[in-house]
Amino acid sequence: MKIFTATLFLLWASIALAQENAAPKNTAQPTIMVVPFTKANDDIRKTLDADPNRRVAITKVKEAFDNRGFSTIDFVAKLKEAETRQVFTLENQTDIKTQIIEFSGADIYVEAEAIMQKSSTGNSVEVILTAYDASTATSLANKVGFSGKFYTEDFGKLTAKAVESVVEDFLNAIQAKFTEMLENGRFVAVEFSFSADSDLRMSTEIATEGLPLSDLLEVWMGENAFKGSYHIQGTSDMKVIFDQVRIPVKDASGAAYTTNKFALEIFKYCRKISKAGDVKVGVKKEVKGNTIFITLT
Amino acid sequence: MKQLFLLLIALSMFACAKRTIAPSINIISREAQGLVLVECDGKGSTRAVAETDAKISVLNRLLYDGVPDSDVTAVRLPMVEDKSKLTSQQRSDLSKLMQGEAINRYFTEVNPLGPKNGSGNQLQRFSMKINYDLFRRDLENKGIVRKFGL
Repeated sequence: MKIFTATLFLLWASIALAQENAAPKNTAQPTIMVVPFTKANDDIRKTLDADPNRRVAITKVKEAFDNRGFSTIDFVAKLKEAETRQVFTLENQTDIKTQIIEFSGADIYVEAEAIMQKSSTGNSVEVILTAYDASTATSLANKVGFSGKFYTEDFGKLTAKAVESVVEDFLNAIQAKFTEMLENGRFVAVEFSFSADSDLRMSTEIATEGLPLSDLLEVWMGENAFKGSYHIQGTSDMKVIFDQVRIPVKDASGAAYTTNKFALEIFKYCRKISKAGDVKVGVKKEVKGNTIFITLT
Repeated sequence: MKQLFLLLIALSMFACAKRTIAPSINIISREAQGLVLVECDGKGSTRAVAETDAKISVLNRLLYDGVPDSDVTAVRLPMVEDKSKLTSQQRSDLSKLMQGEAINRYFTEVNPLGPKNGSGNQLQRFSMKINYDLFRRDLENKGIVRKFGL
């Protein structure tokens, strides 16, 4: 009886384990926030209060995401939260939108612009929808919608019509980009720099490798970026910026491959680099959204 | 000269022979969120067979080709990005969605346009309203297309 019970238990355990391994792991979804378009010196808070058409445009775009079963970060709620937490600094009053996007932690932001057009042959609204990767500023999708001309002063309705004419196509374009990410990896940015007290420079030759530090980092990036895909924005003696590095969406086990995991791989590699006198390089890593900051000492 | 004349007659008869053409699909308008009005040809010996053929043609077009020149932008891109990557399980599930009564769920209204011409396997045109939102949701639930996101 005991043997039978033990066998039954082992059988159940093995089935449960097999089911757990077979179950697909949930991929961490990117966070998306819809924001109104603003010009360089506009105060986004006042603009949004004063222009209901922008609110209509944002709401209709959010509605389209909701219809596809995808929740977005609410811009107005984040704005209020940021104000409550006194996130906005005096120095950056003219760039509040960027601060909100950073504060929200959104991976992607969708900018919605509504342009009213009045004419003797009818009024219309044109909307411009653009989706950006928040960390790399890569454009993911761009669409222009038009309401058509009507003899009406209800620009809110015209705005809604203009958004409806194009928003599903816009979402399909973003989805095509997501498919491309699954196949070719998603973008992160990596910035290497030095602490103030560091004697290292990008031109410092690492004796054990026989290469300058900047070349060493580039070689590593080529070997570890997904499908070897990366782009260098710029190199100086104090800094190297890889503005577009591809990393896989999932790791080998099917779990989400986060920016932090990649940052950890960079960290572990940099820790192995030796300066003169066989002293290991000091490393600090910081991750903000999809941007990795590595500071070497 | 006589032979040339007979050859020309024969060629013109061949040119006038009945040919089966691929069903044409026109997206007419977006009726509401997730609802689109289309006109499509279906082929069949009876109206019911032709109607089913038209429905399958329309869904296949939305699935694999999209309608790039449509003013209804929601259907411009195909729902399935690469047909060749569908697994046998996905094809089987898809086939079940497009069989029998199951396919009728996606059509809220179907009207024949004009009487059926002649007998036999002829083309007939239909106008139909498709609930493509429901179709997409079923495809997502079956894992045939990926839900929005990664």
